[in-house]
Amino acid sequence: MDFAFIVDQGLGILATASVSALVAMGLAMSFRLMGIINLASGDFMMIGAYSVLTCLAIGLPYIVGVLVACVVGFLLGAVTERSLLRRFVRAPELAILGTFGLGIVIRQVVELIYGKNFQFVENPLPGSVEIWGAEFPLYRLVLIGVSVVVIGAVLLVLTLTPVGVKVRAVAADGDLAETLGVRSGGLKLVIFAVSTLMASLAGSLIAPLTNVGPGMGNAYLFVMFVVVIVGGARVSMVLVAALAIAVVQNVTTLVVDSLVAKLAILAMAFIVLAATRPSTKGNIV
Amino acid sequence: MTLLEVHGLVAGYAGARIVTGLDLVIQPGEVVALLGRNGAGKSTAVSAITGTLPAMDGTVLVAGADVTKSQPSRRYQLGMRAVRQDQPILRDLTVAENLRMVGASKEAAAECFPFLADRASQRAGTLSGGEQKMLAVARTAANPGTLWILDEPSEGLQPKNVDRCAQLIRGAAARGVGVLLVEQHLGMALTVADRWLVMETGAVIDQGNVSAKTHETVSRRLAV
Repeated sequence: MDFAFIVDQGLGILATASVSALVAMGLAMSFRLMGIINLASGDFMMIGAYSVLTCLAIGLPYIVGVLVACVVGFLLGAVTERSLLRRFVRAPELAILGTFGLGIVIRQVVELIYGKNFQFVENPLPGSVEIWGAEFPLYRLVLIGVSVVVIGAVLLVLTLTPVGVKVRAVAADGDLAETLGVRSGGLKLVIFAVSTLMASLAGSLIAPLTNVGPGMGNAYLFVMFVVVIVGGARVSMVLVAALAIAVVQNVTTLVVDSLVAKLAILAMAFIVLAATRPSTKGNIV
Repeated sequence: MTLLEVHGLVAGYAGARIVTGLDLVIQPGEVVALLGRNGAGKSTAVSAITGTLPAMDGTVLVAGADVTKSQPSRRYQLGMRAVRQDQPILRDLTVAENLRMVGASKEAAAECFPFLADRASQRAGTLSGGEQKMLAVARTAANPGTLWILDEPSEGLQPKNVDRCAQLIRGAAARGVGVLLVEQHLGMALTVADRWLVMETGAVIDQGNVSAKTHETVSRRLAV
């Protein structure tokens, strides 16, 4: 096992963890603030990938596709929160059915427009850079870098800004936060829209590394939920969980196969659930 | 302008009516003590007035605006400041963040209760029950609005801090703030109140202005 191989695997793990963390952070935030489990997260990822695909098809550069994916993800999330999720405000546990149905609708619409077949996004940065004698695929480095910046920015906003204090207040005690003047309805809309933006961004970033198809989100959804279960709906722990699961997933896939890797991360979720008491209380960060 | 008008308020949980028709008016500078035994419906009334519990019937007006169906944040905008009985502060936030939530400075809060000056970076949930109550009262006093709804603010406080709490309430009232004070501590309540109401099984059964005989009258009412 040479150094280049280890670097390649390490980057693979970080890339997987970055994408998982982006989506899982959004899942955790919307779950903590609204009590909503968004089963359409994978489909918002898929929308991000198709946004890039569409932009490339009409001759726009890849980076514009990523920006369009962010805007589309945010707007669709805001519309979803306002038109669908707000109806479940008194029974958020039932919203899981709403997001499940929404996911089906999104997949069908995309299938109608783009067809069922897989499509491919060309790697916008095919080169590599050499560090310490090992070749680093440039695009993966950029993917990891963008994810780290976005995740870091969200964490900074949550911990250091007045808006972040309000978000944490609503997550901790929505009634009391409202009594102290926080308009939690507007805040929930923004947080849900940011969570779908993050999913859509993740989809746009992963698009050049995977097959783009209407059902692509389902493959990721499983991992995202295990990340949130293991992380305990706390944003910082979700990041740790994303990294731990990416290590288990990639190493098991390499040593055995992808099916055993899925079983391994499922086993992780069961072990964590058995060893800890999952809670939706406590600090969101 | 009348700060709080409550007419025929009915409220409760899971279809059960706990408050069965409360009428209440608070004018600027007036402190009204809402008294009653455990289970009389005082805290349910407070929840419906502050908006954390939807009213089943009746109306709630804050500064003349009908807020019966409005969120608590709308009532806050109209000047209402509330301290609830249980978990009155955001436990996962620091003391400073709890104050910053309402735009209150830690210096202003420390003027109310000096111990808060040294606890700014402490997680509020690690304060004792009494300290949490003091933080909640200081949060209110440091950004007073025009109407205070205080549910058992002296619960768990040492006598000197009960006195300080009473001082803060009277000080706010002197500046025109209206106060609805729900209190088990009868001595403290009647020290600061201008009027009193006694609730029993969800309705007001007696009321009057505070006078030399009030303590005896109310004690008799609460003992029945």
